[in-house]
Amino acid sequence: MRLRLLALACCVWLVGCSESGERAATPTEPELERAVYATAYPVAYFAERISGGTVPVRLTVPEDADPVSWQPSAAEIAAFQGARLVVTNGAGFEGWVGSAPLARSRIVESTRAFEDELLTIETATHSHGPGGEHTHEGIDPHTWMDPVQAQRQARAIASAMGEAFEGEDFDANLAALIEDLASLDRGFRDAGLEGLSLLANHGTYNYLARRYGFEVRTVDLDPGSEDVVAAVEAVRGAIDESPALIMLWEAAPAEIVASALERELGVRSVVMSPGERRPGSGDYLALMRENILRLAEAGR
Amino acid sequence: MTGSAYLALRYALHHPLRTGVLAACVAVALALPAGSRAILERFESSLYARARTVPLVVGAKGSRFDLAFSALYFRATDLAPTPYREYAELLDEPSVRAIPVHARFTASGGDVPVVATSIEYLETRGLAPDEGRVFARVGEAVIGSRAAERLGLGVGGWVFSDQRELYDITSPPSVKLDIVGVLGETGTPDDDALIVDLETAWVLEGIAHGHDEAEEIERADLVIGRSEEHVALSGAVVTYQEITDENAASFHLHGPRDNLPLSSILVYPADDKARTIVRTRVDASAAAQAIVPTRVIDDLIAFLLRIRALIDALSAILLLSTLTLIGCIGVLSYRVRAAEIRTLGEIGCARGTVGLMFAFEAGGVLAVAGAVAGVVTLAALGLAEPLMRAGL
Repeated sequence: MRLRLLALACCVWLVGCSESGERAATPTEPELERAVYATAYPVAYFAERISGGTVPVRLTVPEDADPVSWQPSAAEIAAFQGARLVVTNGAGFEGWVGSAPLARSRIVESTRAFEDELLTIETATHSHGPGGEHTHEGIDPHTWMDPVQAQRQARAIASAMGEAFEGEDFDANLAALIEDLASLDRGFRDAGLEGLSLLANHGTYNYLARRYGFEVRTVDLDPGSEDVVAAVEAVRGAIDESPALIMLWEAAPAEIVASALERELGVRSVVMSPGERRPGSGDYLALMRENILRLAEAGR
Repeated sequence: MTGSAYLALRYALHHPLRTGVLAACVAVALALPAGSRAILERFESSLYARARTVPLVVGAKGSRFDLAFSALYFRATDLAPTPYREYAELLDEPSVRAIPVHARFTASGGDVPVVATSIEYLETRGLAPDEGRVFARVGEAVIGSRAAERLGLGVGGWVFSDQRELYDITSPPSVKLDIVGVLGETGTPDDDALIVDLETAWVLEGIAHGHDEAEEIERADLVIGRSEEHVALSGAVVTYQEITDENAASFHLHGPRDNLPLSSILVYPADDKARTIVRTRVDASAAAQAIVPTRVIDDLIAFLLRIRALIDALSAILLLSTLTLIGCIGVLSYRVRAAEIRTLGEIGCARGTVGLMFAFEAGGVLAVAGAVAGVVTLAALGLAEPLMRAGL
């Protein structure tokens, strides 16, 4: 031990001699852009509402890009690195964030507080070599679809913004947003969804189904496809297992497909936009209100 | 007075060897304690300066010296890795800034430590690129100024990481690291390092890798089994050895992030309360410890002070021996130069002038010896840095 310590002492003696220019003890505070960078539209909307215009909120995901598979460029990463706060949805929605060289202490994962309550979905996995099967998390990331969960996300974002931007008071803005989200919750409750059995073209509505007591089964169909035969066959297979009269679509399906489903199977198509991207007009709130109206109308 | 000085100078010039040997003996006797003290004091101050930049270091239980020098100077150690979970838990602590460090690899044949960390490390240490930019994806690196100069690397250059086990074909291969920025000089160990993102370190460890999409691999010998949910690939699937903008997104981790290895975690509590909470929580765990780098340096310096006391004792003996030697030389010299002194008296030189001449001779020898000792001390300080680089 003494010999080892002596060797270490000799070594560090020499190390020490090279350290003529060491900096002061106080850690340097980085100069950061006074802005919130968001990685997805729903959380960008929450941050914008909470900010009320006092802090810029930037959503840099291109409008035509899928936020799930988007990969930012080096310049875009640099912008995120320089932001005072990076707001993410979490729950695996933004796959790139986990491996991006960002300051973890400045990332707000808005679903973190209820990660134990997140729903899992089936995903493809692979394995090779001695490492065994890869552990990709099959978590449903569409957490904001449930307005009650969205309130928790908004509170998490507001709390982080309060810490990041000292002197700003976001309480009133947060309260207004929470009230709006609560009105969405009331809207969904009043839509009479409990006990219904629905189909969906994508696994986007699991949190809504859990919250409002309906069943939803996914039939993977592309809204842009005009393959009527394939669509009718797929939906027929699904309703043979368990009858359903409504099918939710993330985007408007091809007219020919929608009318064939209604005509041949009696299944009505309802557009239920998840709002993953910033809408051309309106905002998250308007989008969800329209969703509720269409759903309530279809359910009558 | 001028005459005494002149006579002393003429005597020294007439007997250069004798005078030179005498001055050299005194110089050595002075340089040894002065040089060792100067180097030690500089060493102490620089060690403390580096240690004071980090209030707490968290890492695996074991030698706290190893942990401190791994975190501060990126020295490879035998300490067990610290799981990422420790870092994640520290991130959740209020009023605490935590920075992960992974310093288990080198590049360019062991010449440069590969320090994997987060962007906050650069920010906290005030490290900014003089040229280029900070790393933005796995496989990109910024290089310290001294390392860049030594290896002749700049923005657009590249360097291969060192394979940990050269003759073990199952160990992860070297990975090409692209230099995207050259850091400004800071006079710290950061100048000698290659700094990358944590994900890159895990690629070097073989825990993260990239390869062709499993679902798209058609070769039967590479696919062990395939179902709707799962594709089992053979270990023979070749992983990417070079990370590019095109394949970077395909890199993925094996296993939960919480278990991934770090070398240490630098912790910056905002206040004493936060510091106490972190220390208490970490020290209560079975596998981790929290150390205060300045206290580790205290212990190391205490040990070095004992070495310095030994050097001081040896120096005192040497100085005493030299002074005795000088005394003997003086007495002998007086007797050898008796005729010269008598002649000086006979030509009218006062006894005081003769004494003054001897004083000038002794003073001159001491002055030259002092100057030589000063130069030797400065040279030792200047040589310390290259010696350190050669030693590490």
